[in-house]
This record gives sequence, structure tokens and C-alpha cells, in this order.
Amino acid sequence: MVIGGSSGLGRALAERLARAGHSLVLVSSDLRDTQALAADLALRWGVQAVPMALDLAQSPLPLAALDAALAAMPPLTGLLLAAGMNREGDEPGQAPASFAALTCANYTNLCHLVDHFLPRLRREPRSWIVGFGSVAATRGRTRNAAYSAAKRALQSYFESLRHFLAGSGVKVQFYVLGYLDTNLAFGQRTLLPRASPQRLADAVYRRKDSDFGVSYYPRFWYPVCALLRQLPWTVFRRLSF
Amino acid sequence: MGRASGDATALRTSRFISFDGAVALSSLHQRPDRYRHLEADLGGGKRIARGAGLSYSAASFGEGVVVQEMSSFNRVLAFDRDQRTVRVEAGLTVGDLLVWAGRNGLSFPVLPGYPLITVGGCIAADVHGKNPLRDGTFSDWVGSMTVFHPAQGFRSIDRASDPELFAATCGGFGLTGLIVDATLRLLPLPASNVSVRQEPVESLLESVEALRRNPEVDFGYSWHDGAARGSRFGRGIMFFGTWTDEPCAGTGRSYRPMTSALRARFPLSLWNRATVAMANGAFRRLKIHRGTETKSSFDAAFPFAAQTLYHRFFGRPGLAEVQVLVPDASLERFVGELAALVDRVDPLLVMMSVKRFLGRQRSLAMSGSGSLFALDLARTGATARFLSEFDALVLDTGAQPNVAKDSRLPARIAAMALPHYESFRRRLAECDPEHLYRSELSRRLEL
Repeated sequence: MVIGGSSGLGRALAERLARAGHSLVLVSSDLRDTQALAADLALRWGVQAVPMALDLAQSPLPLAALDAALAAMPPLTGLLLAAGMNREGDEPGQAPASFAALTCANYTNLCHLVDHFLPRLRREPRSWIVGFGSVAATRGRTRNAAYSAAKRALQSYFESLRHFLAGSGVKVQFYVLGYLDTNLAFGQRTLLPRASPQRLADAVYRRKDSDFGVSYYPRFWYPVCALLRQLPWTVFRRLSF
Repeated sequence: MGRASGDATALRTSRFISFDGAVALSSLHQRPDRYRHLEADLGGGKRIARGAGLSYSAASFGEGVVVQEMSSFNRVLAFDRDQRTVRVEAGLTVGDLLVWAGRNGLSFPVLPGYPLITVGGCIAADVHGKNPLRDGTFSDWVGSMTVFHPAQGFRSIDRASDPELFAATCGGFGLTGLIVDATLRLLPLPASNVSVRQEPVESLLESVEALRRNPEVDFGYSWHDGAARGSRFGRGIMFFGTWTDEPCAGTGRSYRPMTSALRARFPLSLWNRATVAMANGAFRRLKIHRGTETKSSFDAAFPFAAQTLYHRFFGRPGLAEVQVLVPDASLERFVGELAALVDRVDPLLVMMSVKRFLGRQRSLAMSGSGSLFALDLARTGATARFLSEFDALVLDTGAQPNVAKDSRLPARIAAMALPHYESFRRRLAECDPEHLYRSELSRRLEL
């Protein structure tokens, strides 16, 4: 199941998984997008692909619809949470509805999805949960306040999840992502190069059986983020990014 | 570190260049990857769709126009095996279409020369393939389309439900709205490879005669040495291709993608009279020596995929290409006066090619039957003068210019030479009264 599986990284993951012959449930906020991708994957790769629409900014999630979709599918062995939401004006002082939508889409609803599907995933001898964070969550900044907080919370949740599932057949992986060449970064001036979502999807698939916990992608972000974390406040507050 | 918002109207300023290198400008650029991005409010701004961006005629960008790059809309949406139809998004490349169809034992009969050209671009420019006399043009194989216009939303159209909009969209250069998807008719794949017979020919008229004698050939076109003058003017090679299951060396599917910017990377043109004469002579001798070659269907359909040097040699100064449909009634006069014009002005003509053609569209596309002549010139001092006199020859012989190939074609010539220019303008005013869809091409052609 690929959450956010219609564009950007989610689409790249769905295409990579389809190429490897996996049946898929594709979930995004607009059924037109997931329908188009599901049809394409079925026709190109001969896999079963079920399109679903789900607005992650809303709560509670209609999880029964996802259960119904899974009823006609092979057992669930993977949950990839590639969805995310970001918007202008995400600063301290924003409206509660805006804050709630960002928190739901980037943190709470993703955790609800994991919680909901965990029993299914644990029943399988080998299964896989992947979360995606952002280098934007390394330190709190003026912009992306709720988004970054949610992503940092999500990373913490995944750490707990990995701990909780240690020794089980469920691999828990979390990628901290730098800039990707998707529509999210289109039109933005970025300080460092953008990575290809297709190459990231290849890397995620290649490492699906690895027990590494947290990984930075591209890897050069690891030292960059480590340095950012060490910057004294007097220096950090002067940075504008 | 600031990851951008997923705003539907995410825009940046990009520099665009026509494939011939003649037109370059910066404008706003949107790269939609969701359906709601297509519906995004662009504030009433002008916009135009862009496929591969390989148009010679600056059809996919314009001053003050938001360029909507359709590369993410490249999915196969539905397939009816019994009816042999496939519905695909407009950003699907013809290379991907050919590969996908081949896996299903099918083929698409009208393919332009480069695999990255998109289905939407092929409809918009109403491109032709390797035997347009037999196979018609791309739009002949389109059963229906979804077209988006902000005033009308997404509309599914075909020749019966909305004949006017359908006619204006086939060969309408994206000016009637955004082509979102199309349903295409496919044919059974006759064989896996193509056997190409290569024969010397001594004149343009001789090549037309050879093509007339082989109207049902699978691939039929000629190449002519642009450097030859006097009695040798028009010497060249005929290419006749037939499907075969004979084995060939490779599939040719791996190639380095070409863009308009990559084509123009050399700062100077490497084509001059010496290199043209040398390269053309060698090419002609090689083809005559080889006689018959078996190629994969991919290599036969897309000869410029592996061979990029030809276009890259034109460098930053670029090339000038013209293509015209000459009616049979004035064929001999056209060829004779073309030879005289080349002798008189002596432009740096690199190559020419000939096909037989039949077009049925009622838009800016060429329409009717005859012989299709293409000329590639390096840009030199004589080019503008040659093309100006060539325009006069076009009008004088009742020929029709291919709007898709010529980035400097004046509106006056298009209006006089294209049989459906005026009716297309009228239809456009009905389809898009606010002229929301604009491009450098539509500005130049005063549409």
C-alpha cells in the first residue's frame, strides 16, 4: 500500500513496486490521479492495482474503505507512507484548522494508518513499513513550523515503532529526505541539488530487507543536518532558509 | 532546506528554445503532475501545453505565456484488445507507445522521427510518419480525445460529438485547449523488424516517380544531398522499408535523450560547404554499399534517436527547415524552379527529403495530396533571402507549408497558402474566444 501514491515519490515507489510484480493499493487525495496510475501499472506491468482516494488532512480517516480494498488483494506486506502536505503560511500563529490539517497529513493520520494495519503486517512472516521525513525538520525554522514539527514527531514515532517491532518480521525504515525533483520543489531555489524520486524509489526497494532504522537521502544530508544541529543558537538564528 | 509547498500553481521561470534554435525566450513554467494542477487558477493568464519541447516552430512557449509541461501525464489509461484501441495521456512519448504496443503484438502506423515526441504534440502538430500517402497523418488514427479548457472543464470529444472542436484540435497546435488524453487506433504488428532497401536516385523527380510506383510500401521516403548542384542536384537515396521477421543487430532502445538545448550545445555550426559535401558523399556511398539493411522497428521508426550528430552539428546558430506539400499539377515546375533558386542564391543547403503525402485535417495542418519536400539549411547570410524567395515559389506553385517545421513562416504566407487557415481562425475564436491558449507560433501567425 502506497500512501501518497499518485505523484512524486509515491508514484515512483508505485512504479518500482509494480515493475517487481507487486500488487498495489494506491492512495491519494484525488481518485483521478490514482485511477490513472493504477490503470497504467496494470497495463504496463500486469499487476493488480487498486486506486483509492483519501484526504489525509481530514480526521477520522475512513479506514473501512481501505480494508474493503484489501479484501480482494493478496495479504498486505508493505506500507509506504510517501504522503505529505506543505503550504504557504505555515508559521507560528496560523489558524487552528490549518495547523490541524498539516499535523493530520504529516503525522497523526500516518500513525493511525500504521496502527490500523499493524496487525495485518505482523501476521506476515516478512513485511515492511516505510516512513519519510524531511531535512526541514532538523531544526525549527520560521517557515514550515507545523510541517517540520509533524515530520520530527513522525520520525520519533517510527523510532518507537522499530523498537516495538524489534525481533518481529516487520522491518521499520525511515528516510529523511533532502530536496527531491518533484512538483513540491518545482519553482524553488534550492541550496543543494535535487535528487531523482526514481533513484530514491530504486534505493528504497533495494534496501527493503535491511534493518537500518533511519537513513538520509541523498546521504550528504547526514553531515549537513548534523552540522545544523550543532550550530549555536546565536549563529542559527541569523540563518535565513 | 525550505521544502516548497505543493501548491497547484507552482511556477518557475524557464528559458525555452525552439528546436531549430531560432526562437528563445523566458517564460513561466508549470510542471503539473496531478489532475487538479491542470485545473489550477492561473489568474486568467495565457497558457500553452508543452510535450517534449522539440517543436521547430516555437509552438510550446511564448512571451508572457505559462508553459504547461505535460511530461507527468504519460500513462496508459485503457486498452481494448478486441477493438485494438488504447487510451493514453497526452504526455506519453511515441517511443513508449511503440514499445508498449509491440509487447501487445500491435503497432501504431504514424510515427515521427524521434521517440521522445509526445502523443499530445503529435496531435497538435498533426505529424506524419514514413508513408503518409498510405497511412495518413497522426490525427487520422485518433478516435477521441479529452480536452481541457478552463471555461469548459474536461470535455471528451470525437468526430461525431464535436466535429468542429475535434477538427480544430487535430493540427491546431494546442490552441483550442489542453489535450489531456487520446484514444488511438492500433494495427496488428506485422513483424518485429523492418528491412530497408536503399537505392541511389539521381533527381528529386526520379524519387517522386519511385515513390509513386510503390504507394503501398510500409516505409517510403528519400534523402537528397543538399550540396549537389547543377546536373547533380537532387541526387540521393531512396529508402523503402518492409516489415520482416529477419533478425537484426540490436533493438536500439537505449539512446541519449535529445532536447532543444542539447542540440544547440556546440557554440558554432560545424556544417559548412566542405563538411556537408564530405558527410553527404560518405552517407550516400555507405547506403549504396549496404544496399539492404534490417533494422529493429524502433530504429526504423526513429532514425534520429541514435543519430544525434546531424542536428547537433548545426550548433547554436541553428538550422532552418522548411517542408512543403506540392500538388502533383505543379510538381515539375516546383522542382525546376527550386533547382534554379538553389543555384542562384546558393544557400548552405544540407539535405532534402521527399515523401508522398495525403492529409485530411481541417486546421493549420497540410491538407490534400501531393509530394512533400523538406529542406534543411544551415543559417548563413543567404538563408533569409533563400527562404523569402522560397515563400514566393510556394505561393506560385500552390504548395502548402508545414507550420510545424518552420519557425519564421510569416502569417501572410500561411494565410495565402494553407486552405483551412481562415476557417481555423474562425473556429479558434469560437473554441477559445479569450485566446487563453497562446504561443509564439500563434502570435507570429496572427491567430
